[in-house]
Amino acid sequence: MLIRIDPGAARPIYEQIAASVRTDVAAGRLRPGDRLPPAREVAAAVDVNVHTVLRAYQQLRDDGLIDLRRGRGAIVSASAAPLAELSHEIRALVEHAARLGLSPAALAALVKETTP
Amino acid sequence: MTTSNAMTTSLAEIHRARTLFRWVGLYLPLALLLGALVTVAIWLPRLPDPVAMHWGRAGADGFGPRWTALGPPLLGVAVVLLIGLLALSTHRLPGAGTGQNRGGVVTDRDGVPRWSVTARFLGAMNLGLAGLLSFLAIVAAGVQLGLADARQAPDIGPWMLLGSAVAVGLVVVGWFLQPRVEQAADAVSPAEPVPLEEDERIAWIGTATIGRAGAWVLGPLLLATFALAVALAATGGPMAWVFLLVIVLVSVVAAVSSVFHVRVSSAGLSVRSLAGWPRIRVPVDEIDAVGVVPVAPMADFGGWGWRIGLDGRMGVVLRAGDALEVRRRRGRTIVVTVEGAAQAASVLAAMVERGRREGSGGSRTTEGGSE
Repeated sequence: MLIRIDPGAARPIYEQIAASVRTDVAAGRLRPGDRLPPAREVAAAVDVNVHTVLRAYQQLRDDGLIDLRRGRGAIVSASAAPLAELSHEIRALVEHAARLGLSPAALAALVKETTP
Repeated sequence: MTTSNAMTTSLAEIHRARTLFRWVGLYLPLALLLGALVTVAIWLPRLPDPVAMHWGRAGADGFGPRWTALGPPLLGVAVVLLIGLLALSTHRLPGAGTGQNRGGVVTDRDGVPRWSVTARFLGAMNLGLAGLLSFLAIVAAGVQLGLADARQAPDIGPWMLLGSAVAVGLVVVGWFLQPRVEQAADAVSPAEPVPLEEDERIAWIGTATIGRAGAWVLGPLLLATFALAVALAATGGPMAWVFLLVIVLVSVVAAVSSVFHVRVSSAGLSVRSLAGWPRIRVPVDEIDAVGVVPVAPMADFGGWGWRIGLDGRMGVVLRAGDALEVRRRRGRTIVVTVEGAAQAASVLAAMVERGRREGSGGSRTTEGGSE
């Protein structure tokens, strides 16, 4: 699992941790059934308070991305599957763009400009 | 180690190594053991019953029914077969697929065939072991020929010494009968550092778990040794408890070292087993280079688990495939087979890069970098 935090960013740190997990699921690096590292471990790794990590995990649970069970830790839930499928769509899009002569970097720039 | 000097190991060379391995590590040992088995079997009617099977300071002190005289060579056949077939076929085990399988020769993903020094060593060991067990079976039975009572059996201490010398000689001969197969070093792909913002904190956490191939090999081996210990305990051998204790200890160690937690952070690399020990920590400023390297457990490290390779690399080697490789400024290079090794390497490379920047910049200016 990759966790990135920018303390200078306006976004609260717990949200940045949650976003890191979400990115990992979307990238296919975390799959439903996978266990997230204990909050203590994440907190130590990026040097933040355990409660900040727990708050991130709670947010992910509220979003239906993970299940939190006492003694079993945080597990990516089955309802995270749509987000996990995004990785296939991304791959398909990148391949499609490449066939049309568009580099991944150019495609990424276009994605950044596109607002939902 | 950093770059592969395009060394070509031909298929023919590896075929020759495998053929000689079969002769040195399988056929010859089995022939020796069968010879001993037949000899002792012919002698059986002339042996006392019970027969002496163990010698202590005061002569023969362990006895068993007559057929137990066949025990050592039978055990030898089992071990020789197990080790010989294992060495010849590890690349066929599930999950070992770093490359294709061309005519029974394992190759890596670039199609370069692989053979290992480990296999060569195992072949030589098989020959030595078979020699020792055959020799001892014949000596132990030979000195009891025609005796009415096994307690009269003479001391076989000098024979044991001779047998050990013969075994060592056979190992050496077996080693040199097999060809040396030069293996190109695996190419380490240097990791591309993850781009970081000025104050951004980044960490990577992963788990290295044992692959199916390793589990397939280690599981039955542990079970077999455990069964042997139980059998020893059942026959009341005095060493059975020590043996059993060792087996339990080895099982526990194998169990705790089949899962490792891997952490890459500003503190550097940390790899620790489920039980917390064994563990490795490499601070960022001790790291020289970070990369990703393909690993074939049997060929590169002689097996699975917490290992030191023949080339001096130390590693947590639990499956075949890509591994994180960290070259230290001082001490052994560390190899960890972990899912997402490439990403882990990129994050660690970014840490190293930042550490160097801060190291060189921090000495001139007081601001920035020192958190």
